[in-house]
Order: sequence, then structure tokens, then C-alpha cells
Amino acid sequence: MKKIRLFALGTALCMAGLTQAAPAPKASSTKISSQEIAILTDAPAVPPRITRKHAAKVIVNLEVKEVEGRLADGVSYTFWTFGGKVPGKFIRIREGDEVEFHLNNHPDNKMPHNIDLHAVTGPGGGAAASLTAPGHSSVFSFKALNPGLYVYHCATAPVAMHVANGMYGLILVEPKEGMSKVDHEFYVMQGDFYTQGKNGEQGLQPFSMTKAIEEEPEYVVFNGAAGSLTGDNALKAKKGETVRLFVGVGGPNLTSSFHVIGEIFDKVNHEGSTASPAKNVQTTMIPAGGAAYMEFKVNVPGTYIMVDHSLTRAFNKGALGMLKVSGDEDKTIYSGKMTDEVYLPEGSSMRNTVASQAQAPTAKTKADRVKLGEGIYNTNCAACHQTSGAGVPQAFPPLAKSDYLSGSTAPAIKAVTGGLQGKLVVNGNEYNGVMPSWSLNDEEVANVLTYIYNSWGNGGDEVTPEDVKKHRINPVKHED
Amino acid sequence: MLVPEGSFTPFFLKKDTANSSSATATVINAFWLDATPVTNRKFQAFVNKHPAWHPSNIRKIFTDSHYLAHWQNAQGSADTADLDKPVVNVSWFAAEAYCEAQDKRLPSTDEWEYALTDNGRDQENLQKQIINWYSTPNQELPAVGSKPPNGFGVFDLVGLIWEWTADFNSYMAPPDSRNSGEKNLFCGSGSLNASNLGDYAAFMRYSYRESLKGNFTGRNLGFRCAKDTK
Repeated sequence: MKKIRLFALGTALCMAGLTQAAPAPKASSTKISSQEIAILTDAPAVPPRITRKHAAKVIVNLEVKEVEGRLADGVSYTFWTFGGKVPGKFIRIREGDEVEFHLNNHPDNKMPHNIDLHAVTGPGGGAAASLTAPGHSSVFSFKALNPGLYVYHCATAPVAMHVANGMYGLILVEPKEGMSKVDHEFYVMQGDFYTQGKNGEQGLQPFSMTKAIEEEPEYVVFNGAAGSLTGDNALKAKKGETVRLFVGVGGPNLTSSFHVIGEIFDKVNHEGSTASPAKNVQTTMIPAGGAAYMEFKVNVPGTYIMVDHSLTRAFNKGALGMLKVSGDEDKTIYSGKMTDEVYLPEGSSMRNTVASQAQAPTAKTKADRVKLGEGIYNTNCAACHQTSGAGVPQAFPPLAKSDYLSGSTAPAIKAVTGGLQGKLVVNGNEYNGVMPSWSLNDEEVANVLTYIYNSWGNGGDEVTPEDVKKHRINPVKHED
Repeated sequence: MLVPEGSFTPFFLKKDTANSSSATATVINAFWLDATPVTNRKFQAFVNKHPAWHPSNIRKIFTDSHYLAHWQNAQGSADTADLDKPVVNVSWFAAEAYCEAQDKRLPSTDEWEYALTDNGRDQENLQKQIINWYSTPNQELPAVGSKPPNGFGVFDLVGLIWEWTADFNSYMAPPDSRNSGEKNLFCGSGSLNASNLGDYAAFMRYSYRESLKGNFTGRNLGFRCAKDTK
């Protein structure tokens, strides 16, 4: 009886009681058998999963507001918003739903606005039907024919400016078969902003038409402001949980190379498509006016940084967010830093010097040696031991009046040709560093050591190439 | 003020213009244009003389529910502090009636835009001023004539309020683009017929006007009158 009435009414609205009737499975997915008001959320929240197994009439009320808000620390901007924030409210419906869309333009607004939902099949995606003057409200309806994750945006001329001011959001049309349950769903949307002042310039910044046309944004941010997903605003999950991100790019101009540092997306639904997902993806490209959703299990606690991997945007313009994962460490998956050791490359462990490649002059006298040695010292040694030979306290031992140089010259030759590592006491002070071995030939080592022994109050010894040959540790690499 | 004869290139051509793919220079005859937008004081005087346009009497067909919504006192008259501010929350019908009562008319969109072009004086600065206004949230309206006039001696064409024109919505497509071919204002197609794609401010003015109907009112929408010279 009830069923007959429903049939007679065709697509007209029906009472909620009818939803409990047990219709044939085929009809259940296409017939509208209930009505509800859509739950809308601000980023990063996402409305709850749809559990009903039938199509419904869904009423969406979205208010357009022009509001001044924070773009970065000390920088504010007049955002044009769907629902008061950037990005606009997240809308979640089901394939086959009939949506009655109410677009309300707040009377305080200066601009007319409209909405183009990429989930809509029809001219303009609703844009023409929804052009609304301030203080007015437009209604149109559409049937969600295709499942997927879609961008919606304002399409009033000049469209680039409306979008640049933050007029975009996501609408998810769940497939009939529904979506799998995960522990967390988050909503992230990237946009580029064009301010008259340079990045970081304080105060209320007007829109720069010139920079927009040149596509040179001062800010590229997630969720409408630098820092909207960092620190206390970071997304949070626990170890072992599965996270699903719905990520859109509003633009107006830049595409995103979306990446989470330290995570691999187990599944990515490219371009918001509900087709079977790609697996094990590092970075996924999201076009302006496009979206993707991705799932991954967080196995290791820590902070994961979300970036646009076009990195100056992340580093300099704000496209950076965080996902903080709490829980116990699992060292078998990721050990953390186990040790920190000095790295001395095998084989080529000697510092190859430029001097040894050239045809070096040969010293005839001790004075020649000191003179030639000074150049070698300044090129190779002065960076650490300083031109004054004083060294650097607690880091590099002094060569001036150095007790290390008071006895035989052999230890010095060994140090230069073989390097030094570990604890060393010079003039009563302890050092614990590294000196690399130097790939200088015998003549050069003799000259530089003679220079050192004849400078800064040292003993005045002369070191000859024969001495060097006798005591050298590593063979010369570039013998002339 | 007398706005002298001249020509300018409209941002959009009227939609009944035959098959023209781009806008070309249009000649504007000399006309009189109010130096400032109509104030609450002047509109109050008009309403006193023509009670049919009082908020409590106006016929529903001529306005939406926000007509003179800022006239909040018991008599439904303008607040004394607002007398020199531009009148807003008036429908096109009310604006037209006011102008007729002064033996004037609303300016055409071409006339209004021509007055704004100011014979090409300082266009870059003008555009910047407009964008700044559009990208700042609403503030308390100042009195009319608070800022310097343009070269024609006309005040407040930008930076104060939007203004009605006689033919406000005759430039773009009807509200539903299905009937309009390529001529409409949305997404990319908005740029197909414009004479200067870099002039975002003009896009905003035309799309604002296009969103209106004759009975609409707005907190930022007022008007001024014009008159032929002959």
C-alpha cells in the first residue's frame, strides 16, 4: 500500500517512515526515499561517513561571507568564503542523491557570488543558476550522477579573483557501495594568495591583481592560512591507526605536488576518482580545481610534515602542515638515530689538494720553504688552525707555541699525512676532533711544516722532503 | 556636473549588439550627472513629498524586504547622523522614481562607466583604489563628497557604494547561461567578450549589476541621477 503511494508520487518527497520499508535492492539505490539536511564541516573536519543504503534528498545551506581573517602571523586579508572560513564547508553526499542547494549571500557582502560544483552535471555546474546579489539567496537542485571527490568554487567574474580570495571547497559524492571505515578523515585544501605587500609584510593586505595575473603568489597555504595545520593545530592520530586525507587544490593557479614527509600513501585515488586506487605512492599531483584522497596507516610515532613538494612554497610561502602521531616506538620499522660518528670516506680519505696537481716550485733553502709553505698553510690549514696559528678553543688545537711541536717532527709529519682522530692534549687543553689526512706531496708537506715550525714562536726546525718520505703514513695520491 | 561629450570603449557591449566579437569605442553625448550619490537627507525629502515611497507604504512589487532597512527609528525616517551619507537599501524602482521626481533620470551604464573613465586620467591608480575597496570588509559609510572629485568634477564613483544604472542588467547573458550561447559572465566564458581582460574591477562592476533585479536592495547599493543637456 505504502509502496504504491510512493510509486504514484514519483520523485516527490516522501515521509521519513517510508525509509524503513524493504524495497527491492535495485530500486533502493535510485529512488529518493528520505530527506535530510547536509552536515557541513570546517576544515580539517570531515562530515561523518554515509551509512544509508538509499538515495536521499539532501538540503545544503551554504552562506557566503566576506570576512577579514589571518593569512599569516601579523598579516590579515579579506577572504571571500563559503561558510566563513577558507576552504569552504565540506559537503558529503551519496551517489544518486538529489541536492537542493541554497546559496545565501550575506547582506554585508559587497560582491555578488555564485557556485560551480564540479560534482554537478549541467551548464556551469550551477554557476549561472546561483548568481546571487548581496542580501539574497538562490536555490537550485541537481542529481549527483557521478561519485568522486570534487572541488566547488565561486565562478563570478572575475573568477580568478573570487577563487584567489578563498572561494573554494570540496564536495564528496560517496559511491553507492559506500566507503571503507578508517580511524580519521581530514580535509586539507591548498590555495595561492596574491597580496600587494610582500610575504610577511604586516597588516591588512589588499589583493594584487598584477601578481595574480603574473601567477606570482606571496603565499601558498593549506586551509587558508600559514600555520593552520601546525603546532597546536596539527592533525592528530595514534600509532596503528588509518588516516584518510581528502586533499583539494583551489588554486587559482598553482598545482600541488602533495607529499607527506616520512609517509608512503598506501592508497591514492588520483584526481578524486573512485576507480581502484593506486598503491604505494610517494607524492601525488593535484591540479588546480582538482582533488585526490589518500589513505595510509601510521606505523611510527612522530611528526609528519605535509608539504607541496614544490619546496619553496613549503619553505617560504606557507604550504606546510603537520600530522602528529602518538604512541610507542617500533624500532623494527624505524630505529631513529642510533649513532653519530665521524665520516671518513674509504680510500679517498685524504683531502686532495689542488696544489699537488700543479707543477709546484721546489724550495732550495729553508727561507724558500717557509715562503712556499705559507701559501700551502693558508690554502689548507688556516681555515681551522687560523692564519694566526691560534686555532679555535675546544675545536681546533693551536699551532702557535704548541707543545705538540716541541719534540721530534715525526708526529707532525704523521698527522699531516695520516690524519688524527680522538683525544689530544695540546698546551694543557683537551681536544677531541678530527684532522683529515692531506694529499700533499713530500715537498709540500716539508714546506708547510717548515713554515709552521718557523712561525708563532715555535722551535724553528726545518722539515725536509726526505724526513717526510721517512715518516709519511699514506702514500701520495697525485705524485707529479 | 556637466560631463562633456566624448567616447570610450565599454568593457562589455550590450547583449543586443549584433555579432560584434569585441567592444569598440562608443560615443557618449554630453549629459548632466549629479556630483555625488543621493543622500539620506535628499531621499527623506523625496519620501516626505511622495509618501507612496515610504517604507510602510511601498508596493511589494517594487522592492524586496530590505527597503530602507537602515531607517530604523519609530517614524521610519533617516537617522540624523546619516543625513549626509549616501542613501542605500533602495530598489531600482525607487531610485528611478526619485530621479523622475527631480525631472531627471538614472544614468545609463555607458554614461556611468564613461564618467568613471575620467577621460583616461590616472587609470592605474583608479583601478587600484577600486580593488582596495572591494577587498576591504564593510566599514561605516562616510558622508558623500569626502574624497576629492575626478577630473569631471564627479565625486564618489568608486570607493563608497555601488550605484544603480538605468540599464543595469542589459550587458551580459540572462541568468541562465543555457539560453545565452557563449556570452555570459561565468568561469572562462566571462573573458570572451571583454575589452580589457586585466581590468578585474570592471568585471566586478558588471557582474554585480548582472546579479541584480529591479526590486533588489543592498547595504552598499545607492544611486545618483543624470539628465540630458537638451
